[in-house]
Amino acid sequence: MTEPGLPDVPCQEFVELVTEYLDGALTNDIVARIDAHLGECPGCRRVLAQWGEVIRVTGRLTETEVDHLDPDTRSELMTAFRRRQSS
Amino acid sequence: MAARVERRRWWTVAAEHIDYSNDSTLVEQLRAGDEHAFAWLLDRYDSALRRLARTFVATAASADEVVQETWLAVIEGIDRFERRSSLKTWIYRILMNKARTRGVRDKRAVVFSAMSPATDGLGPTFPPDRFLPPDHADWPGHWAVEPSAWETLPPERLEARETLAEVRNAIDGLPPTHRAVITLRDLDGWSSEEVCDLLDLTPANQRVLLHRARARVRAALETYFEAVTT
Repeated sequence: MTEPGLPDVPCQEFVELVTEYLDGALTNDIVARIDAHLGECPGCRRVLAQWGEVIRVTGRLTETEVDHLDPDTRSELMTAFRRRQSS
Repeated sequence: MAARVERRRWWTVAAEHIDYSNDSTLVEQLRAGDEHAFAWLLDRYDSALRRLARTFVATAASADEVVQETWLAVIEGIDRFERRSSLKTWIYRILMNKARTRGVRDKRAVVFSAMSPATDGLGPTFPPDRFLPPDHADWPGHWAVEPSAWETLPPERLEARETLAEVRNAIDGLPPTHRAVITLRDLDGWSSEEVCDLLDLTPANQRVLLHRARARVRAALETYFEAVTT
């Protein structure tokens, strides 16, 4: 399945390494083994794609969870900032 | 009002032309009393600070108070800020200290470190029965039940409000340190180094926490997509 000399990464191991793989935190050796595995394994390619979606969709929470500072608190804080200047 | 305008120094008049994203400019402007600079800082960080505070204290009201105390400490302390870290990190450190104090007062003390994956109760990324057993003749540890292809879902499914609600639920169900890590990395876009620095985590531990948090979100979405498409 994989290139000769490159021991395969079982799917069960790969799924625990996805974040490190994406963060560039793995050694060249294991990255080469993972790349070879991904070339052969549609299931693990799906996991990688799902990971991308998880990150993208999680990032979208900041768009929907708009949480404006309450105007009274904001003006209190601005007042405190001004007061620091004059003290 | 007029008096205040006159008291402003000349550079605050042109505040809209100042690049506040530059830390040293921003600190200078804050020290000089530039209100635009402080307003910029509030707009930039207040909502993210409250989001993080909520992972550590019991109620939204507590989180609001912790963040307000943080801002007052920033106002109070900006002259003493020594630039050994970025201004952002300095503000977040103040937040963490306030949250700790508040956690103690609320009897909800949060242990920020000592969150080991072995004890977080989250389990592996996929249940073991999704894979062939270790003694399988040909493919030990390979897929028994492959993950589904999300790219075949209707595109609007991934963008739906309900999908985002599932993500939020999954994150809210995580232990506090996992929540803090995924919040900073995937919502606020922090680097691994920044997160390690703020939460006192090793890079390896930080990645494990992030991975396990993302795994929880992935599993929640998988369950949800299966429920709505069958």
